[in-house]
Amino acid sequence: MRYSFLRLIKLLCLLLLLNGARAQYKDAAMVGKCMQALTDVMIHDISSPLIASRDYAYSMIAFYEAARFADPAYHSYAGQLNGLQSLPLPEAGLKYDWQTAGMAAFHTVATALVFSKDIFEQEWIKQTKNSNQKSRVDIAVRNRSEAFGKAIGEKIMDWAKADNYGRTRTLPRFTPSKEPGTWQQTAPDYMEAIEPYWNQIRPMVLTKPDQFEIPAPVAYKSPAFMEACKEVYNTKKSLTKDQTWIANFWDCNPFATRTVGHLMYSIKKISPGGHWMGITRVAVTTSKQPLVPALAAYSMVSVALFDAFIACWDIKYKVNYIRPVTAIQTLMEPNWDPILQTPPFPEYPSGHSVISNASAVVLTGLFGDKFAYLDNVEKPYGVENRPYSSFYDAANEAAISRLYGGIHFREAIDNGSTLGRKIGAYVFERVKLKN
Amino acid sequence: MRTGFLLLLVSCFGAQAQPLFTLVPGKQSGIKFQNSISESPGQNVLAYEYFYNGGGVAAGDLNNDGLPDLVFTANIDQPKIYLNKGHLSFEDISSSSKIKAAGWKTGVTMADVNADGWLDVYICRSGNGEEAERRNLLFINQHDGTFKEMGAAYGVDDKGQSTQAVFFDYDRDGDLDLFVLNHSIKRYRNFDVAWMKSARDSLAGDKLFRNDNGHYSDVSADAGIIGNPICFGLGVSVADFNRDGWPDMYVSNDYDEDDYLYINQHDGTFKESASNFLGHTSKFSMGCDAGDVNNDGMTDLITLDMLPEDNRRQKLLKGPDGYDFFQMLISHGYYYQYMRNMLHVATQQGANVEFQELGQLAGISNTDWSWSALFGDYDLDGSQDLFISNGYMRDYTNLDYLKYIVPEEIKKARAAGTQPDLYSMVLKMPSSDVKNYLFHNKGDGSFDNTSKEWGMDISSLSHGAAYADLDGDGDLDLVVNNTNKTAFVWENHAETLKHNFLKVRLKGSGGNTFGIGAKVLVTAADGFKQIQEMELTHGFQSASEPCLLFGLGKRSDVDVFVQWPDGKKTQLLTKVAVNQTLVVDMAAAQEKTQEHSMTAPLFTELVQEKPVFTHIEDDYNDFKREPLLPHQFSRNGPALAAADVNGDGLVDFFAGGAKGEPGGIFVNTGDGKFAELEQEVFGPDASFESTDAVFGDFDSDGDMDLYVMNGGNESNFQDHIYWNDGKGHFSYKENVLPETSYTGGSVVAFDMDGDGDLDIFRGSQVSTGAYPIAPRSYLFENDHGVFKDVTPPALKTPGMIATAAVGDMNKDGVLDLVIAGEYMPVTILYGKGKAPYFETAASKAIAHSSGWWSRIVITDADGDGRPDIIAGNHGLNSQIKPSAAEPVTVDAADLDNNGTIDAITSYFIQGKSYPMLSRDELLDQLPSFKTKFPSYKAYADATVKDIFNDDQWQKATHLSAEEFRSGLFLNHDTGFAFLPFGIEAQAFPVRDILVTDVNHDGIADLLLTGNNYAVRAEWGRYDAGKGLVLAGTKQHTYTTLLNTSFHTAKDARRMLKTGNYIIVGNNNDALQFFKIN
Repeated sequence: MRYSFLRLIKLLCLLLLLNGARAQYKDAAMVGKCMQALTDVMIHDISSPLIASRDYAYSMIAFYEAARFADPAYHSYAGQLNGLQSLPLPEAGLKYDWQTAGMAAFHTVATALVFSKDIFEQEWIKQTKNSNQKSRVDIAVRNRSEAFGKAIGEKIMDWAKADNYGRTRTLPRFTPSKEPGTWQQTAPDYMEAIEPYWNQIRPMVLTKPDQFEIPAPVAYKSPAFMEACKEVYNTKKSLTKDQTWIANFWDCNPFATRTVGHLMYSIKKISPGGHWMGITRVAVTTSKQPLVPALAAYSMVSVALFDAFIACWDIKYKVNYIRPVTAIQTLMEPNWDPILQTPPFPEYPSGHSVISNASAVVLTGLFGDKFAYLDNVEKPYGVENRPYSSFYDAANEAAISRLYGGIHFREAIDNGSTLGRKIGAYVFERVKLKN
Repeated sequence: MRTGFLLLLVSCFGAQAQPLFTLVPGKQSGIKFQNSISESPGQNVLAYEYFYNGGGVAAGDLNNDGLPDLVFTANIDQPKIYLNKGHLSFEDISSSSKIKAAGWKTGVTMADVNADGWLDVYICRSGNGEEAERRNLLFINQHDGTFKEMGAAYGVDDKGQSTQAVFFDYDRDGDLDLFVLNHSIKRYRNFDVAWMKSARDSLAGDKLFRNDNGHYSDVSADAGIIGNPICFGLGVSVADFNRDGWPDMYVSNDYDEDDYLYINQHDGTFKESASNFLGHTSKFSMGCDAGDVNNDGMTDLITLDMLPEDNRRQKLLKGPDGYDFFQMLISHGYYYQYMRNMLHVATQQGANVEFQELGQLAGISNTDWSWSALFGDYDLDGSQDLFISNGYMRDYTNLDYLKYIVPEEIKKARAAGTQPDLYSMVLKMPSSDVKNYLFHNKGDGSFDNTSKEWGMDISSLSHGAAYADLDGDGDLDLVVNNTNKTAFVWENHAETLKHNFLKVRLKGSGGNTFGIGAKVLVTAADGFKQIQEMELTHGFQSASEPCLLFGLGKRSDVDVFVQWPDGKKTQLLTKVAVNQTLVVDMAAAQEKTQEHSMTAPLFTELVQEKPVFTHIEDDYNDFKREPLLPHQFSRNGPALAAADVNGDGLVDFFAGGAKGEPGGIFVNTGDGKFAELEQEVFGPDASFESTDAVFGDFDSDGDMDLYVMNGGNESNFQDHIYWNDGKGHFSYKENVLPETSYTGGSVVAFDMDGDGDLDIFRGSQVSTGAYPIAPRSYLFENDHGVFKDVTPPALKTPGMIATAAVGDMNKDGVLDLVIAGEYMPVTILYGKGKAPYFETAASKAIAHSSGWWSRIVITDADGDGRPDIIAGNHGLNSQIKPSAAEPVTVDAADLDNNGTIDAITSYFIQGKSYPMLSRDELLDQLPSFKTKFPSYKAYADATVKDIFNDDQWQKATHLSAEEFRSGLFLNHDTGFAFLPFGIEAQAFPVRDILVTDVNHDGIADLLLTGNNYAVRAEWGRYDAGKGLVLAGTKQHTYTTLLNTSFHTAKDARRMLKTGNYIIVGNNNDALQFFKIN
């Protein structure tokens, strides 16, 4: 199942010559490469999972909106997402290259959103240099297409700027509570809690961040809580090789530090949202989706991720629940450490459980519930590929991986999964991109 | 011959011709030693935490020929032993000496362990090797140039990971006991320290060995020695820190573990007491040394850390400020630790010693990754100078390395399908070869960096260091152990300065032949006084010879007082000739108890059975809203104001509470006692934070009403007036006071228009959320008990006012207003007596007086009839020391167009102004600037102009301050002359000043209190304020009074005087009461 990059390209070139539909498939592959450029710069910048979800969503929607005209069966997001009104239309009767337009839109939005713009540009050039636009599209069409894409991108940015992100940058930093059972900064770096106001970001499809509710977690120090602690504790004690692999496979921590002797360095990984965008890439690639359906998949998954993070973060900071590491160190064993590094925000519910399930609902809706695939997303980050029988199979494993990793209680995983399914279903039901 | 030549040079070319120190080449000295460190895949920092800590050196006369010999330790290679043949030439006897040591060698010290009059050599070992190769070694001197290893026989072959050892007689039984300083080789990052602190780790934990008839046994646990697995001991100094005649110990620990100050309990045990003596300590504490830096006869202490001097290296290693993380360490029981060198200067308060931390004031706080500190009077001028060695082979503090370079390498390796190789990444880490520091003591305990002038201008990785008079010419030469570079032998040419000296050797008795632990006090007729204690372990992993050297400048005869280590025997030698080696023999000493002439202290602190009033600060943290602030503005209470509220002729007082705590009226019941008079009216106003108050008869009904100013920099800034019923009961009325909507800084009540009632000036301190934009201040005119806002343009936004005072400065019969604050000059607004009362045209900002002022008091200090201004400022014990040429600045604008003000504070480092913020701090406030500063390196040289664009710069608010000293502005006809106070008054932020005659000489004296604990975690609390009494003189200058028992060592804010009593208001603490004796 693993293709080397060059073999893939050669294969694609061959197919291109044979079949126009195959060209569309290659266009779809280019989307994956563009996304990779964005992923790489986010990893370099250590963008938080929240900021990553925002970067993906606006960039992918821009790509879709500028390229969707390649397949007239597909509709705009305009009018279907909160605050997104009409977008520019191509001039009737003129010729456009839709991949070019889409890439320009994506490039415009991604450049505006990412921090290290120079690194993005480097990655962009690296990823898109084998594009055949220049040879296949004449200069006038190319310029027109790029201008159109840029116009879409700028409109998308206008919309993005009104999502309250800027204002949330100005609000006071989070102060941990002194109440027992509340979230505290965790070892080894004791980082401050990130994005306490993410629930103030305008959702795309949800009407409000707390549209779907889940039960409150059990009370701190209650018998049920002590059982939950024991479960995390015992799980680590009896962790199997496969469970360790699972924990690492879904770790998705953008920034974990390692100390070897006196030396400290960091390990950077793709974010949880980035992992699911990568799964989407696997899905559109293996099912050989043409450009527009591929973009529909990428963008709809990114929308589900975007809203899932908002809803999840709303509960996280309202509940402000203690992490297993703090609880176990306080109540059971002072020097206990989880397998994974605990990310810097409150525990309940498990973000990975919420967003994985929301993504899985959307992907299942698009590709069916029996879509088996080999997940190779973590390979560049040093974790071996894993096969999955369906997207739900993957989402369930992503969720339980947090228990194996020792960073979540089961309740946060179960209720987080439920929340994610509801959000995914709502997004998939509300957003109609195709007749 | 050489001397003559040098003199000639000096006379021809001045001082430049010959620096104080010159390097003696290895060819000449015969010393070719270097600590060679070669890394390999199995031997590098990944395998062993302290791989690059370097070796040590010990100086001492091994063959009793009168010349100090040298022993160097190399981590990997064999130790080297050099016999001193005179004239700075040495003979390498390493192979014949039989001193051999496998394994990883660290510290070396000498002591006459078997008391035969010959120095033995003790070598420490560490590393990750076999236990047999880690046990420490004792080489007993065989009197023939050879040594015999007898560590196990004596019981001193500790198996721990040792850094260094010190031999001393802790139980005063006449023989030498042993303390072994150990370190962990594993880092714990866990704050549940209760279990860890009390654990005992036989490899990492420090150990104390008691000598019983020549055999040593480990008494650590019984003696109270902490031996936990998070010990990272890098320095130890023995001295009698609390001056009770028994040796105490300071232990510096790297990383999170606190440093220890072990106070000898006289019963064979020690008690860790750092928090009772020190306000805070170094964080990544490395070497330490004890010595008398300010010639007051008390032993002071320095601890080293790793804060670089230059901006660039600071910026490459500084991450987020970590205020919360710091608070978390504190709440888990760790002490206040900050990354910089600390100079703890001893002060006496009654029978107690405590230390003021003056490292920044002294100018020695930032010397990079530092190892050895050696106090020594290198120029023989009579004060102890300071040598510091530094450098590190692999600079893994570089945050680009942590965040970008290593992850990039890992990514590349994975892309190539290979496993990331950390070792190859280690090899890519830059080495930080830096220059050692040599500081000249200016005579008052502060220092000039004279490294270059004195000849130390070579980059190196220097670790262990020792001083000794190698050539016997009466000055201290220096020997330094370098990694991968030949050891330095620095010849000292102080003899050319024609300064006098006195060398003192001690002949002890019994098991302590060199008089280890004796204290030698040298005094001279001009008041000169310096103490040195005979201890051999000095410098990192190093030891100096058993000889004390006193520089005397031009003094030609001195008295020498020796207190022997048994605590009983002393001797006084008078009129001792200089420029000689004085040998003092304990056999000639007498048992004599020292006479202490204790004069009654000026003050007595009143013991309160139950605190009269305790200020409880709320948890609000300004940094959460404004991470770019240099310090918080929400911790300025309590308010204090005094008046006779119930008409009984005694002065009562009001104390204001922080948010959540009401204030109270406390009625004077005589003899310095006060009782709270319950007031219903304050309870409902507990949500306000009262930070200043003033009593006055605002409704002209003959009793004292109360104006309470509110602040707190959070919310609820409305001031209140409470009306007195004549008996001290207060009530509230609506609609008598206009709105006040900014955090208050200071309030004064005065009759500005001569209509017989009291008007109000309320200076506001800060615009909450918009520092440093000037807040709106208020002038209220009193109209029969109802106040009108009559604020003229001149007083609307004059600045961030912290303090205001009233006086007739120009003697025109109309009261004038004097205001000052952060980034404000001391400004006099001359009153007109009628609307608009104050005008910009009739105001005077004293030139060059812009500072961070917190208090002004008006008094006629020189008795010329003109009111003068006494002003309290930030002081100089700070990273920031502005001047007219090098001001501290804040430039503010909305840099990312998100509606909030971004305030960039900058100050000068080595001649150029740089932003205070680390890259992480800047990006936390301004995430979009990641684009502009994609790496730490990209930000490392940035100035504020690189952060602002031209347009933003033009529109920005720009403030600057150039004077941080507290002092007196004398009012002359022609203007004001600034007379800064002496250095003692610049050691802390002066928050209040009280003018009163405390020594009953008819001349007004000054009481100064202050400090500030609410500061960025990186800088740490300003806590050197311990209560300062400045005695006024007829020449209207001030002299510091010592040992007054006016001990205000908390986060003091305000003082009051009622009768013969002084009340001190401390932030987040109880009030203190002092009686003037």
